[in-house]
Amino acid sequence: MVLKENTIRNIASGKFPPWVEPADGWLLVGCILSGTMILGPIGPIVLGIALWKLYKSVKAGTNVRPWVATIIGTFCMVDGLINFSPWTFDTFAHNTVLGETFITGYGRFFDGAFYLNYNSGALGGVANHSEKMWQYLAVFILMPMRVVSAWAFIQMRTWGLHFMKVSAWLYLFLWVGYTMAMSPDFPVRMANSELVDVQPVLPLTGIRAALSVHRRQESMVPIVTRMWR
Amino acid sequence: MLHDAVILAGMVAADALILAVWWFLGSRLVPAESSPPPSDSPPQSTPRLHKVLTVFCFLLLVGLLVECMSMFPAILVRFGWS
Repeated sequence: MVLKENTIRNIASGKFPPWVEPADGWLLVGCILSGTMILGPIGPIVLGIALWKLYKSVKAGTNVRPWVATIIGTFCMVDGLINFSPWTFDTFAHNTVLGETFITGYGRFFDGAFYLNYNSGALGGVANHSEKMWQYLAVFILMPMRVVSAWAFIQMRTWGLHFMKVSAWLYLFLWVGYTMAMSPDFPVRMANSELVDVQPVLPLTGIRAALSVHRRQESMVPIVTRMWR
Repeated sequence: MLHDAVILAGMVAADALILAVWWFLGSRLVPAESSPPPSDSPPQSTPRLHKVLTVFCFLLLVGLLVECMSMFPAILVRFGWS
C-alpha cells in the first residue's frame, strides 16, 4: 500500500479532511440509524450503500483505510450504538409512547425486567435495581466511550486505537458483571436467554482485533498504523 | 404527542452531549498508540488470522444489522403500541 492522495493532501495542508474516506458520511449516518433500532429498517440500507462504496474503493485501490479496519470499526460502532440507544430510551424517554413501546416490547420478547413493573420505580423505566445500575454505567460511561472510540478508530486517530482497547476490556468487565447480576433473577428475566447470544464474543473480538491491528508486523497493518493520525 | 416530542428531542440532545463529552475527553486525554518499529523485511501476504477475523466480524455485523432491521417492526407487529 502506498500513501494515498487524501493523506498526501493532509500532510501538505496540515489539516485533516472531514472524513478519511469520501463514503464515511454514509457510514456514519448508516451506523447511527441502525444503532437507534427504532429507525433500524432504513439504517442498514444506508450502511450497505456506504460499505459498497468503500468496498469498491478497496477493489479499485483508492482506499486510504484498509477493509479490515472498516469492518471491525463499523461492527464495534453499531454494537456500541445498539446498546447505547435503547438504554438511553429507558433512561431519558421511558414515559413516551415510543420509548415504552420499544422497551416493554423488548422485555416481552427477551428480558422480563424490561416489562414487569415497568415505570414503577423511583427513577422510572426498568424497575430492577441492578439493571438500573448497569444501565447508568453503560449510558454515561461505557457505551458512549465505545461509540466514540470506534468512530475515532474508523477515522484512524491514534487515540482511537488506544481507546478501542480500553473500551474493549471495559466491555468485558460490563458483560461479566451484567450476566452475574442477571443470574439471580433468572426465572423472571431469562426465559429467553441473553447468555447464549453473541454478546460474549463482542468484547473479545474487539480486544483481539485491536491488538491484532496494533501488533501485526506483516502486510498492510504496520503501514496503516504509521498512517494513523 | 407534543409532550413526547419534547422528551425525545431532549433525549437526542442528551445523547449528543454525552458523546461530545467523551469525544472531547478521548481526543485530549487518551494517549496515542505508538507505531510499531519499521520492518526491513518486505510485506508478506495478509495473515490467515486477519482474513478469518474480518470474515467473522463481517458475519457478526450482518447479524447485528438483521437485529436492527427486525426488532422494532417485530415488536409493533406482535404487541402494537403501548
